Amino acid sequence: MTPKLGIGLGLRREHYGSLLSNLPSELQWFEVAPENYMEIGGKVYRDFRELSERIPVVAHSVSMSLGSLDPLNKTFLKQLKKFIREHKIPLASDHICFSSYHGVQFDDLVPLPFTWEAVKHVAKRVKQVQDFLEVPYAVENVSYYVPAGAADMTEWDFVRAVVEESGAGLLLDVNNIYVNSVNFGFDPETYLRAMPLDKIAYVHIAGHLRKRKNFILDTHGDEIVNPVWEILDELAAMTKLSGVMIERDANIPPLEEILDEIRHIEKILKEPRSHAA
Amino acid sequence: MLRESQNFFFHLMAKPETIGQLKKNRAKTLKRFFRSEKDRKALLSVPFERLETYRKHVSIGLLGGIESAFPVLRSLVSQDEWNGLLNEFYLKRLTRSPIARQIFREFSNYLQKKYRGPLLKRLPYLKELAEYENLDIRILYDVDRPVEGPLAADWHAAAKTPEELLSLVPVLNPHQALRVYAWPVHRICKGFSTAKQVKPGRVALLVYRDPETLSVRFLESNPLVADLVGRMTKGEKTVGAILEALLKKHKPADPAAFVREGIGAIDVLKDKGVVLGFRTS
Repeated sequence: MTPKLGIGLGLRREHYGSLLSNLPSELQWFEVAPENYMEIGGKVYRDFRELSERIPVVAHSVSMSLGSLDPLNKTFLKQLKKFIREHKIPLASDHICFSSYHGVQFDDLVPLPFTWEAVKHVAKRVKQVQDFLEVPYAVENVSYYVPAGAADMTEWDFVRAVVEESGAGLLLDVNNIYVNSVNFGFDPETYLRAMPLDKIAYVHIAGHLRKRKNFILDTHGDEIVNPVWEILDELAAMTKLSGVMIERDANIPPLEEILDEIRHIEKILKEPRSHAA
Repeated sequence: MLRESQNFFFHLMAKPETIGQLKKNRAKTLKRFFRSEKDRKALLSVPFERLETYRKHVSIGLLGGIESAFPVLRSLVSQDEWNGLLNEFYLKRLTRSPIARQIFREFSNYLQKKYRGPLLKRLPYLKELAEYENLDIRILYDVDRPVEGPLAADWHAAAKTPEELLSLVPVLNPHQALRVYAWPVHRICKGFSTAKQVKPGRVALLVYRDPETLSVRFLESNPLVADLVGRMTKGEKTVGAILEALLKKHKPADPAAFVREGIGAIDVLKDKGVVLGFRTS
C-alpha cells in the first residue's frame, strides 16, 4: 500500500537554512537521495534529522542498479534499510536501469534494452529489494539518449511490464517522458495512455536542457517548461495522483522560486486541464 | 543480449578509448560487442553526440562530487590535469562504493597508493594535501558517537585539591584525528600552483569536529599535545596516569614544570573542544 504523499520537493542542502527556519506549508514531503545521508553524522545529519522529524521523507536512491547483471549490493541494501527504519521512511524508489557493472559505479543511469529478458531480470531484482526493505517500493522510468540494443517492445510497454511483473509501484517521471519523446520521436500521450495508472506511487516533474531541436539532456537544472506541465496536467486529468514532487539538482534557485512551481502543481491537481501552460 | 548491452555501456563509460573507436569505425566497434545485426543496427545511426554523452556523464558525475571535496587540490591543477587525474582514478578505482563520501576516500587512497604521475614533480605535497582534505570531509560527516556522561566541564572547579585534579579522567572528542605531515598542508591555499610557494616542514595537526558548531577545526600540535592526545586515544585514563607515563617517556629535568605544562595543554584541549569534559570517578 503506497502512502498518500501530496506535493513534495527534492531536498537540497542549499535550502536547509530556509526550510529549518520556516518550513513552507505548501511542502508536504521531501524526497532524498539516501546515498547522501546514509551513514553520516555531524551538522548535515542533525539538520536532516530535524527536517525528517517534521515532514515525511521518501528515499529515492540512484545506486541500486536494479537492471545490472552484477549481484545486488547487500551492504548498500542493509545501509538503506537501516536508514529507512531510522527515519520512518514510508516509501523507497529507484530507477528502471543499471548504474554499475563489473563492480564499477557509473554515476549515471544507463538504459536497459526493451526486451522480455530485461523485464524478467529487473522485475526479479525489484521483488528482492522490495521484500528486503519491507516498505512499499516504486520504480522510475528513466530518460536515455542511446537505445540499449534492438527492442522487443516500446519503452512504455517495457515500463508497464516491469511494474506489472515486479508488483512494485510506478514512479512516473513526466519530464523523462517528454525528454524521451523529443529524443526518440513519439507522442507523450501514447506513453501516458499505456501506463498502469492504479500503480502510480508518485510523480516526478523537472526541468531539462534543450541542446538542439531533437536532443534534450535531462539535467534537472532549469525551470519546468510548458510541454512538461501539459503532460502532468493530462495525467492529473486521467487519475487522482497521490504524490507529485519537483526534482531540482543543478542551478538551484532560491526556495521561493521553486515554491511558485509547487503552487502551480497544486492548481493542476485541483483543477486538471485548466491550469497547464 | 542483456549482457552484451551492459558490456557495451561498460566500455563506453569506463574505457576512454571506446568512444574514439566508435567515432573512427562504429560498425566495426559495435561488432565487438553485439553478435546480432539487429542490435548493431539499433545503435548504428544514433548521433555521435548522444554516445559521447554517456562518456561525458561519467566525468560530470565524478567531477562535481570530488571537486567539491578537494577544493584546494582542484585549484592547484588545470582542468586537463584534473580530468586526467579523475579518469585515471576511475579506471583504477578499487573499492567502487556508491556512497559519495566513500568515493572521496577511494580517490584519496588512490592518490596515496597508486598515483605516480607528473603532477608530483610540481606539487610534491599533492598526496598529503589530498589526505588532509579527505580527513576534513571524513571528520565533518563522521557518524555521531555520543559520549556517556556525566562529564565535568570545568575540571579545576570539580577538583578541590591538586591530587583530585590528577584523579580526573579526560574524555576525548571521538571525532578527531592526529596526523603528522611532511608539508604544512593546512597552509596551502587556492592558487599556490608551484612548489616554490610552499616550503616543506614537519607539522603535527589535530583535526577535530567542534562539539558545538559541528564544523571541522585544526590545531597545530607540539610534541606534548600530540603525546597527550595519543595517550587519551588509547583509552580513558586519569590525568595523573597519563602525565606519569609521559614523565617516564620524556624524563624532563624539571618534572613539576613538565606536569604544569601538561595541565596547561589539557586546558587548551578542553577550551578547543578536543577534550569534551572530565569524569570524576
